[in-house]
Amino acid sequence: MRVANIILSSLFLIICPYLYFLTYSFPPSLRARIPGPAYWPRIVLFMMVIFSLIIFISNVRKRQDTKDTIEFYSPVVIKAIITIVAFFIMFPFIGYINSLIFIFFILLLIAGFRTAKILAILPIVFFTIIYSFFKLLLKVPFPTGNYF
Amino acid sequence: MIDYIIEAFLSLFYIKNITALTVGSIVGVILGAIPGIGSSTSLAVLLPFTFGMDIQPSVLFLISIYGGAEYGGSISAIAINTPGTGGAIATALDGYPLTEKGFMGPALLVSLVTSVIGGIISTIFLITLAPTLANFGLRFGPAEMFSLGLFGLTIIVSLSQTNLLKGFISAGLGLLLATIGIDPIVGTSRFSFGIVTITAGINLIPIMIGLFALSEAFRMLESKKGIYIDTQVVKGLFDTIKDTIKLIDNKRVMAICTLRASLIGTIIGIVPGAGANVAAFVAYNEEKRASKHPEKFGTGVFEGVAAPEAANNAVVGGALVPTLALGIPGSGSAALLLGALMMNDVIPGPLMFEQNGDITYLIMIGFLVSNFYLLVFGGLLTKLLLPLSKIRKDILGCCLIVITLVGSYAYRNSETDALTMFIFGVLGWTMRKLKIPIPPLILAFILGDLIERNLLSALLISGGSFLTFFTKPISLILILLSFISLITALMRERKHSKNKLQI
Repeated sequence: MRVANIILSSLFLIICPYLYFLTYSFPPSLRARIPGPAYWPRIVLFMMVIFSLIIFISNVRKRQDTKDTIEFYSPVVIKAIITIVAFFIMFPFIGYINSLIFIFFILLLIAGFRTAKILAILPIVFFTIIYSFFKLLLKVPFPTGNYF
Repeated sequence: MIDYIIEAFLSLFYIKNITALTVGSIVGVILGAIPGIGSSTSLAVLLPFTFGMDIQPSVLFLISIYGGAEYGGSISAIAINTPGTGGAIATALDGYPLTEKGFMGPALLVSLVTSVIGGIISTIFLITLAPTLANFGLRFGPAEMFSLGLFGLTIIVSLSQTNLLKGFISAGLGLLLATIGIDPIVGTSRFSFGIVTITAGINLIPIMIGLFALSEAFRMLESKKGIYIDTQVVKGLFDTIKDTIKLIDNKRVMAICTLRASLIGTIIGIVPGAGANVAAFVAYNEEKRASKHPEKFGTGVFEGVAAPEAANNAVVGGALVPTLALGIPGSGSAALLLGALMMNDVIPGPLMFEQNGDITYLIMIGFLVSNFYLLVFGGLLTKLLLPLSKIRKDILGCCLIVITLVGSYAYRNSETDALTMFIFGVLGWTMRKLKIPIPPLILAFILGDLIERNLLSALLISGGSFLTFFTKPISLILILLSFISLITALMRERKHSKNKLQI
């Protein structure tokens, strides 16, 4: 957790000053002595830098890592995230619903399901419910793809 | 007020509202019974299903889910020692030993009845307290509203269960996200980086679906657990009622225990950020302290189930008091309800009682009645729901991912919303891994606009003088309370880390 905390606080210590710098491009206040659009974001960013600094320093000063380690490397979740990214790339071509059916299959495979019963029946039942509710009942106009 | 109450009662007889309460109660209990899905996740997942509904059934659907999920969490806590929700952790302490003794049915019945009583008592408080608090809130000017927002925020952060600093980081992130879009004074776009779709700001609904539902779906993918439960040990409803009446020797003690825990739950629910798990543990400890046989707690006593269950359901009504009266959400789930109301152009706060009295009282009366629905459907369905704990969480995770992608798009037929939801889902999963609490981010995002708008308005009125926040009595009291809550939290954390070092 110590290393994760150091990385997290370092990230904020880079991003927050950058955003603070960006606030100088905001237009000035309409009246003298009255705060402008940059006022509140600057307060928030300043506070975040302070808190990140405290987290950073306190974790750097720790000699040992705490026992509550975290496992960030989770192959299943990383594959699921990549699958969802693929969905966003895919749906303009094959349509929103078609892409969802496709990624649902992939997600089931990623989760380790190999039996035909689950891979065949679950998507059919599940998508019948989802499609009936959102498309037929709520009449949500899901985007169709260029090709399907 | 009476007119609104009568009108709300009458509207509960419409078929669409009866359906909403019925389906909401059943689905709430079902989702709550699945370990890992709390009331917040249940609400976030089911929020998209309300997009096509009128405001009345949609609100009733959501509040019955909220109450149902809080009860549902106790089913897996009692049956398999795996609390379905945070609020049911204390229930497992005596609930599971009762199951081991062969009293799963009576324990589940006690949990159901006390949950319903807790819900009803807290609603009575909600109906009486919220209008008074809202009336008081009408006196608030910009300075008081700023201090109130600040107070809400500090108390949420100081009560976050993990590291205080991480609570602040989470809240800071929420405040920062709230600044994206048009600023309230000059009208310029901030931090939009030329992305047209966020020029006006980021919408709350995709953020909530992502942070609560998608991040939970990712966690579910990592788990493959399913546990066997012998449902045969649970008898039919009527036999269970007979057994329970026989087993509870001192019914007066049980009644007092339920009342006390309901009051504790309501009061803790009113405090923003405290939540069902805090209430359940406080009620459990209070009951243990008040009991003539404290040594029996943890070995399987019915009071050990009644106290946390009455308290965690009473939190729902309590949390709605500041949500409706002041627009300050009492919990993550209340924030989701607030989001659902805002989606329907109803802005919670002191003016809601004047401008949307019909909806306000419908929420309160609807929650009262939803408890009776919970009693009926909880009683009938509990035995059937026990095998739900056997569902593999990774299947559920796959289904949740698809629902979140469909739901976030369906909200405004916007691909950007789906993408926003995905980004926040990944962020939520990362935050859970890093033990950064999620509720402060959501609540800060909601309060961010209120705080900034009122800060700037107050400074505009006072000609830029900060003294305005300290010269108005209500504002001063709220600032002092914010300060006290922070100091107390800091001291608690110091003590906690010292104890950790000694261990």
